[in-house]
Amino acid sequence: MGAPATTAYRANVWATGRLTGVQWPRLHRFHRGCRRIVLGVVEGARLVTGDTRTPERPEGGHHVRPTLFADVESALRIAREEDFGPVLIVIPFDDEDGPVRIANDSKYGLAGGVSPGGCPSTASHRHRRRLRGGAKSSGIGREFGATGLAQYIEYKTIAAIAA
Amino acid sequence: MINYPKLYVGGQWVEPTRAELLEVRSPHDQSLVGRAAEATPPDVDRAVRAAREAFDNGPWPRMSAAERARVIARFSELHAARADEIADLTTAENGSARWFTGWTTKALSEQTAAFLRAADSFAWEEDISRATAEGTRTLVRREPVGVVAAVIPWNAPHQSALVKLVPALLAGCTAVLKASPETALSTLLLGELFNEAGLPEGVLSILPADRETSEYLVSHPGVDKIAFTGSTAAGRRIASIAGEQLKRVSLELGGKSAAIVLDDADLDALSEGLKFLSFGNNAENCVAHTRILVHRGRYDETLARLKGMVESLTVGDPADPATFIGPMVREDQQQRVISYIHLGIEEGARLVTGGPEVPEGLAHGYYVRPTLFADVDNSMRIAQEEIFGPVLVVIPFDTDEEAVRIANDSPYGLGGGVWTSDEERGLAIARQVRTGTFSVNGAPHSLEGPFGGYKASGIGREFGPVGLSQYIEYKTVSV
Repeated sequence: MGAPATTAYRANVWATGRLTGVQWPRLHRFHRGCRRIVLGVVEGARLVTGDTRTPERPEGGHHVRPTLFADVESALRIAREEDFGPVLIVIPFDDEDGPVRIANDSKYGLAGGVSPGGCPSTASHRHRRRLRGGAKSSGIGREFGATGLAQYIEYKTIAAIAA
Repeated sequence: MINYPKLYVGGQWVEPTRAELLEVRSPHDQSLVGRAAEATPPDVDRAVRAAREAFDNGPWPRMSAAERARVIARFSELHAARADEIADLTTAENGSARWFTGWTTKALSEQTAAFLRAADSFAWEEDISRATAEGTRTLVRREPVGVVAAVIPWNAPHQSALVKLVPALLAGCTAVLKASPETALSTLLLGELFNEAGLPEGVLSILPADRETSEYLVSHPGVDKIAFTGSTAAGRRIASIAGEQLKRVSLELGGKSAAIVLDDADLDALSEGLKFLSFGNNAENCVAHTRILVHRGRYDETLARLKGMVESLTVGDPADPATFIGPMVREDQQQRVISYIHLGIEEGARLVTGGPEVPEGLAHGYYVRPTLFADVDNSMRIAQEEIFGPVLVVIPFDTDEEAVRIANDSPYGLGGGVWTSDEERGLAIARQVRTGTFSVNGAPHSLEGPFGGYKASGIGREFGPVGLSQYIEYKTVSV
């Protein structure tokens, strides 16, 4: 799925200097979070803030700069794969069904939200919500509260009558 | 002859990809009952595409639960109106005795009514705000899980189809029902009833198919949930596919359920009860009570009563209302039962009545003798493995604790019962046996109560509100 970062594309990125200071063959030395940021740059997303390099901090540690990408398409790997780090992507939409379609176009189905401030038609989106489709890879079962407790029981139905 | 030469795909009767029809033959005399279309993978693709489209874009998941309930209630009325015809056809196909198919087909409207009651009071969207911080609201929604692949066996086709389709459809799911080739005709008949009831286009497909095509269906990326009834071996395979693909799955599998006869049991009630609990549906029944655990204090007396009961069972033409036990469904199933009877003798169990010979005058069908073994050790294979035929094993015990231990010493955990004149003593045992259902003195359980298995008897439950909840995903919305 998505736009693969082909060797030719990588070479082009390298040639245009968008990966200044990064030796592609040495990317494996990066912290995973930094590799994800590099991937975003390679895929052509616009880096609004953040960095592809590990921040140098006197006390050491595995730091990643909080990073924001704009102009992202949901087909990109940075939009489809779980980063598990401080990397956000911003995806624009135009039409009414756009946000729900884009939100549901994922192999995952764990969580999400709507922000009324920036989206005047939020209420209608909620009501026009499409039920999610496809096998979803965020898991099986639920935790918390009564439903979470019910994950640890077996039902037993007993019927009795006096002899 | 009753023929269904077309497949039911998304509410349309369509030509199957494979031109050759399958023959459904009577296990009583091999006469031709009818011919039916058989699905292959391209038909599965069409059916899943229809279900996917109906779920993602169609009206069914978006209409109110009450509107869906009206369609299901109408279906149930239409089904009840054809109950005799359905029972006759099922008996002709799978050899289940007519008293049983008649009784279960009529009971289906009660089963569906219990689901309709569950849907009516189901918390489809529930406000649990009192548990959250001031100023915020939390809603819990129960939304349909998606496209369901329902795969059912031949032993009680309408019962196992409707215990899946009714809750799935009430929840707003769309479905592809995979029918067994043995009962292809009666299962395809359901398509006529759902169309007449007004089920929208695309929502349901019915495909008789073999095991390979069935595996293609459950592996299909367009399927969100698998609901299966059948053997434990097939259930393990399906669960592994579901695990790899992270699909939701519920499984109703095999059993080796124990009936515990305490020293204060009413033996009249016992022998009348076990006639139905052990031998109903030709004992081709996952929840049959096939291990009879008897207190040593009343062992000989109980054996004599059971011997009399087993010998009184009439075996013969399943269409005859006087027949209690019909033929096994197929020749391989008949041979399987006979081989277990040979095995019991080899293992050293005492053959009390029955045996491996085909009953007299019934060599034209797949008949077996109802068989009773005594002095069985619970470690024997005939006590551990599911035979799926009319073979009972009797195992002695001394104390209630020992009875519970033997009952639980099984890979299965589906059903069982206890017979006692002390209801509290019976309930104490019921609470300790690790099975999904349990009866005291043969009491039938309410159709609202969940049914299903511990251990290798399956995952999940069917019937009533718990059965309905197998077809939903929880969604928590906070505002």
